[in-house]
Parts: sequence; C-alpha cells; structure tokens
Amino acid sequence: MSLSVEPAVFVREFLTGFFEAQLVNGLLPTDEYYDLIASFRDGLFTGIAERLFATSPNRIPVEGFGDLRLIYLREFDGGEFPFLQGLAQPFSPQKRKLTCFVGHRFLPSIERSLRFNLRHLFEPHGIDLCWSGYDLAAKDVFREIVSGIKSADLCFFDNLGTLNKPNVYIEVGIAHALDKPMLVSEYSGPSSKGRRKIGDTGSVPSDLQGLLRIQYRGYQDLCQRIYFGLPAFLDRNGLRE
Amino acid sequence: MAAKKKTSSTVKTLQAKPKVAAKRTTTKSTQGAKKVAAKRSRSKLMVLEEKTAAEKTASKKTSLDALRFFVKTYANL
Repeated sequence: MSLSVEPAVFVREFLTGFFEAQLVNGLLPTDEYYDLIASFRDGLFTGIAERLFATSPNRIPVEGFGDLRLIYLREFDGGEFPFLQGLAQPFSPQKRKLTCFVGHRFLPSIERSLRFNLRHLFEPHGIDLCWSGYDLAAKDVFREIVSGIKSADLCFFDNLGTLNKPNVYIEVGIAHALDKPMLVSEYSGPSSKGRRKIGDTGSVPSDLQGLLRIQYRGYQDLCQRIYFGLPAFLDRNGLRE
Repeated sequence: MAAKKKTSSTVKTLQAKPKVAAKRTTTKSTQGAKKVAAKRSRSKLMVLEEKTAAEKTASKKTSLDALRFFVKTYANL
C-alpha cells in the first residue's frame, strides 16, 4: 500500500532535503543553496516529476547528466513510500568494494523492510552488506559477530525494537572498541499527533551520542538521511577514493 | 500666491548662478573635454550595468539545474 502523493510536491521536498544535507555537510555554499531552493518556483521540473511517477520504476534521463528513477521502499509496518534515486554509473571493478556490517533487532518485519531499503542505499557506493543474522544467543554466534565487525570497513546499527533485547548496543560497543566508523540510527517515533510510537524501543545511551547518530521517525525519514549523508560520511572517514 | 511666485523666482535665480560661474571659469575646449569624459564614464557605467545583468542571468538557476545537481552527485560516486 502506498500513500498517494503529488509528484511535484514529492520531488521538491525530496530535493530540498538533499540540498539541506549538502549545505549542512559543507558541500554547498549558502548562496547556491537558496538559488536552488528558489528555482523550484519556475515549475520546469513538474513534467519530469509526473513522468517519474507514471513510469516508475523506469529510468528517466536528465540530459547530459544521467538517469533518475522513482522506486518504492518499505516502512516497518508493510507500507511503501516513494524514493528518488540518482542512478550511478556501473561500479568500476578497479575500485575496492567496501563491506558494511549491519546490526538490528531480528524481527521479520524489520528484516524484510530494513534490509531491502539498505541494499538500495549502500549499493551505489560499492558497499556490500554483511548481516548480523541473528539475535545474540549462542557462543558461536557472538564469535561470528565479532569476526564480522572486525572484517567490515564500516558498520550500521539500528535500535528499533531493542528495548528488551539490547544486543545491538553490545555490537555498537564492539565496533567502537575496534575503531570502526559507524552509523547508529535511533528510532524516535512519529512526530505528528495521533500516531503512536512503536513500542519496544529504547534510546541510544548518552555515552554513545558522540557517534554518528541518526534520529528518525520512520524508514522514509531514515532512508533519506542515510542517502543524503552517506557520501560525506564516507569522505570524512577516508572510505572513498 | 504672490509669496509663492516670489519663492520660485528666487530658486530660479539661485539655480542660474552656477551656470554663469561655469561659463566664466571654463574655456570652450575644457568644456568639450568634460563632455567627452562624461560620455565615456556614462558608457563605462552602461557596460558595467550590462555585465551585472549578464552575470545575474548566468547565475540564475532553474529547477532543471536542481535536478541535474542531484543526478550529478550520485552519477559520479
């Protein structure tokens, strides 16, 4: 099930979020940021926005620069949301592939949506995902997880649904001790009134707040933040050539 | 009304004074040179104004530029 959205409004809001992330990360001067935000008033992009929705998931070429594609990613409740992809050139085999260790609560609903979404976000950067697979239980699984984090170039941890199953924080601790660059996403619940926060979720302890923490209200919010922030995160940690 | 007329004639006299003074202190040749210089500075100003307008047009972004900026960022990963 997907919510109906006005194509032009969606594209404008999506790109506004992207430009804001570029601005905050120091990759876009303020003057250029406001020029780009103001440019949406001309409405020239409306036709492309409508084509993106009408022909999804077909590629839409943007003359001289590359292709765009509108896809649908997944919320943890089974819903879908639109997502705009700038399509990268095929990843050069000469570039070294990176591995990202992913830790999250092992629940079918989270697994089905989060893993599907993350694949779309990390693949354009040549990053393979390595899943923790199971909640920490057996001794061998623990060893396997330590080994997985050790051999990864970076880590991603999500705390959704971990209130009574805080294993993901142990994994965060292991990655911290091994000095691995990591993204830690913290579910903070929807902001609008009348929508209930998903239970069984704690918050990231204060002593972990120095790490790159992404607070999110839903997977749509999380996916945009990762997508817009990943290039700068990889640069900062020397993970891009 | 009479008072008003008096005031306007006084203003006219005051405005006329510098013109007379200018004629007395400058020769015909210096006047010509001044006119040429003024014309030159006016044309320089016009060129500057045109340049600024051209720069403004060049820096004005369209929403298609915004889309291109986005595509370019992810195309060159």
